[in-house]
Amino acid sequence: MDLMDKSLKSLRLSTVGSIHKVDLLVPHMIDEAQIRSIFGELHALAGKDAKPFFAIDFAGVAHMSSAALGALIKLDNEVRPRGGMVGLSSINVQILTVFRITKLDKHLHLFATVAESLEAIKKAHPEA
Amino acid sequence: MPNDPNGPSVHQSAVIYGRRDEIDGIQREILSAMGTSGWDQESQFALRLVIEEALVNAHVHGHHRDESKSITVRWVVGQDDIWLQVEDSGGGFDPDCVPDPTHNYNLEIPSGRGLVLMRAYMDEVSHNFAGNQVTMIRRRHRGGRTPAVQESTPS
Repeated sequence: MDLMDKSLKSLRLSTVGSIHKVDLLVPHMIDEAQIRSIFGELHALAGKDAKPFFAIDFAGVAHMSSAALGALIKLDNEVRPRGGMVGLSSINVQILTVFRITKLDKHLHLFATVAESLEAIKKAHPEA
Repeated sequence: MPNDPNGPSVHQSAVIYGRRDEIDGIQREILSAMGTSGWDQESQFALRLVIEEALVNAHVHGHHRDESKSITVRWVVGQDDIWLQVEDSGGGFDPDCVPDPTHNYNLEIPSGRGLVLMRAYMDEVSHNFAGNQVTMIRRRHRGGRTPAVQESTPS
């Protein structure tokens, strides 16, 4: 399924079709510099695609701050107007509460599993 | 600074300058005191987040990332409640003038959610008149204030 694997310190990247599958490997996504580094990588990938697609999996994340929420919104703001999509999956119950408090669960695309995230992106965008 | 009549409490204060290792250190100390006092994982998650948001707000917005400016943190971890105060050396702000990031028109704005999270996870949040000091209390018995969480993730 994965055509390309690339291991970085804070995230693992692979591709499924034209979808960038991102496994976050940082248990505590709170450090601004680390968040900038992770999302800088994702923005660079988005910049190379006409229609960027991301399936970002949070299985490895136990904690995150509003700085990480802001970074997700910036990525979504870049991808959505270009006809792409960002799917977020495997978000633990406590972080899900953070999304709900900020009402971002209604604005961003959240899925229970990465498989569901990939499926939803492909269903909405068969070209992905 | 409140005293907890129902048992021992940990009173502490620290002066930091907004560096990551200092913020981590404050979080470790408060979470350790919470663990000793039997606070549950949900409360520890909440405090970790609130401390992060308050200290980053002080450093980034209060001090414009100037590491020569001091932030004073005071806390009391008791059996029934946790009291936390963060004071920066900046000019302060008016919390009522911060746009509501949960409003439909503002959902795409990438900043401004720290205050929303502090108000959601703490039972009392107040600012001094100058707007450079925030004081917060979280009670052990919150009367169902924590938002309900469902088992499954929406799709």
